[in-house]
Amino acid sequence: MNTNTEKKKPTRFLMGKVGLDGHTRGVKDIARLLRDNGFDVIYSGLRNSPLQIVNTAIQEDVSAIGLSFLSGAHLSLTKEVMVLLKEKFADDILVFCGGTIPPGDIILLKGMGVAEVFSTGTSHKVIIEKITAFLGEKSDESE
Amino acid sequence: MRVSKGVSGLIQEVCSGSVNSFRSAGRLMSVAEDSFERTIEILCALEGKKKARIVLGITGAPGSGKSLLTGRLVSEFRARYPERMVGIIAVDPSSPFSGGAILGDRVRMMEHANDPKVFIRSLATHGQVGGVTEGTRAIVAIMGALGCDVVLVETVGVGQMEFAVRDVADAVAIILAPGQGDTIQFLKAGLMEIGDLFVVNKSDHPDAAQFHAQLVHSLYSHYSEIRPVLQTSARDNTGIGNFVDVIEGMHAKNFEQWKALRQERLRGAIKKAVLFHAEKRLKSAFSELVVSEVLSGRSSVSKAADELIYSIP
Repeated sequence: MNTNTEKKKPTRFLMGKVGLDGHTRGVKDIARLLRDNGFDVIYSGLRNSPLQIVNTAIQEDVSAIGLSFLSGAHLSLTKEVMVLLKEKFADDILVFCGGTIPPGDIILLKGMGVAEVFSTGTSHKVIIEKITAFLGEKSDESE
Repeated sequence: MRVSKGVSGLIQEVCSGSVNSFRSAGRLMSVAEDSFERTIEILCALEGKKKARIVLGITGAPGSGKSLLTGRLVSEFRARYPERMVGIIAVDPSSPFSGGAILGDRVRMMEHANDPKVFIRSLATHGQVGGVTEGTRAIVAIMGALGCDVVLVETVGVGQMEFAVRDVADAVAIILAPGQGDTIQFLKAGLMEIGDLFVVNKSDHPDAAQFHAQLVHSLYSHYSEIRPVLQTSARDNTGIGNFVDVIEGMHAKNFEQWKALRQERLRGAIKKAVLFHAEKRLKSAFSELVVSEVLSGRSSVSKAADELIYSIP
């Protein structure tokens, strides 16, 4: 995709929290992890609505969105994000979820089109490897 | 409806105001950031298109309240002209180690995320100093073509020597907060010279009145041209209306001059891009042998330069 010979710009990645949940340790930790691995992280903060997330992703032209949850509302809120992305012709943007997510819900999230789910306890190494692999596949497709 | 892949298709979609225009604008901004060449290509292609009426630079030290104040200005402009669009470019620093960045200015502006007449774009500095990036100029133009009436360019938190925002904005507002130095700081060269207006934010702070008085006194005694010094509190949402009044007053008074300045800067950017490319080609043609030739006295610097230039096909 990037045909010019100059140094490639960092991948843009939106990190945020949707719904009524004020726990930022996880989202900030992952934002920092991505920053330290050369990503441009757009941090949208707390208590975003699904529409705010999708509008932000479009204006910022991100390659991926990371949603962090502790509230238990991950199924309904992620569903809404996925629907809005599709409505706005932006479902080529990858979505990752993370946080306190029961194992049984992982398959449901993936069924909605979420690329990967990182539950609590996943190591930084695994997170970066998986994200990088998914983004690599994505840019191959758009070649 | 997918967005186009090529620059000309994207430009068409941005200007058409179609359902996809925001997506296309976002994509085009990434292309503009890709390389100097692309920045100029997009700038030239947008020359005949709609342009923003006002491009205001907002700069100042980290933590002065630039982002929150920018968010307040957006609210004020949107309330005054409900039918007009506002664009915001917010720049944050890249890591010198990983090259990555946390772009967090948006957090202070999320109330505007769902406003269909507001477009916010965060940028990382990617190693460029000066407070804004090369791509910023093209992104201002893209926002203009999208229909933005006002574009606010918020720089990274700056020190005394970063004033590249001056090259992309019609006017620059310097945001200060009480506690940021005394009259000696105001006397120094650099940042303080480039402000078209000054804003003492955090005016709810007990030291704000004294700080404001010192700043006014310094500016009035050292500069012949009188520049406004305003007081705001982004937190309490005070002084914002007056801020916008002053910006509008400047536009009414200077818009002809701004127009000429924009033209001059575009020409300057093209010149810089051409020279940048020429230098790149010269560098790739350069051979270390030349150094030995000059060192041994078999050639001179100017002769070696001639040979290098003529060696490029």
